[in-house]
Amino acid sequence: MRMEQNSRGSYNADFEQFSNFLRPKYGTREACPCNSNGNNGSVGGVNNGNGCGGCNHSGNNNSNNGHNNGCGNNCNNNRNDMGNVGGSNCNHHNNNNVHNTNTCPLAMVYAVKQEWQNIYDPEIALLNGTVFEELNMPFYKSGCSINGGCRGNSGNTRNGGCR
Amino acid sequence: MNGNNNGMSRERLMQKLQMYSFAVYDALLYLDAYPDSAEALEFYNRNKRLEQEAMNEYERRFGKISLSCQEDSWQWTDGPWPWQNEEVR
Repeated sequence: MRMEQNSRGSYNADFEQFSNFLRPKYGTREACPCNSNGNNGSVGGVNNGNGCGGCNHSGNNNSNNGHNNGCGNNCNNNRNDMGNVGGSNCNHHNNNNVHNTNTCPLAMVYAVKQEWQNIYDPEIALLNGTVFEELNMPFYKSGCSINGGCRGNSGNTRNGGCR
Repeated sequence: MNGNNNGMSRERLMQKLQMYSFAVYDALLYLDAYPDSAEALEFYNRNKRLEQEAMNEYERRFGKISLSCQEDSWQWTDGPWPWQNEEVR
């Protein structure tokens, strides 16, 4: 996609201003793209119904007060999701959170830029099936792992997955 | 672990070959997305060299291990097959 700025300071190619960020003009229906600062979730106890399917990098993807924000595929941990980019449907400490996937846009996907970092030695890599420590996400019986899936310290266990 | 393969058992040498091959392949997948990554290229080149050294040593001591290594005989069929791994230890 092209993103060009015209003489009036607005972007006029494939993106358009929406709220405080740019969104693609087509192909996304009502879904909002990644918001690097904001909050896609419903925090105030209302249904914002915006169908957000994207991610955000410093905010919180979740509906914290048990209301439907139209997001159906992000982890709801009552915490910031900085490290959680997997959208793996783990609900920690999640009271009365309603997922209504009917309002979600189809096939909203994203890819995070991978950095070359935390590289295993070849011997360790072969044992773990990946050279990249940050992609070493073993799955356990109940879903989440201590390293991956739903990351962090919000209730993952080695044996039981999500609490 | 370094590239010194002298005196290594057949099984251990094959294990080294597999681990270098895997590292090379995983780095290639990364390089598909980030072809200009100098760090990834350095990792790829280093492990590609170690893979080749392990391959050469294995073939020198235990014979060819794949059809692509064919030179002037069908020796690659003489080595152990995957289901015979237990017998070569």
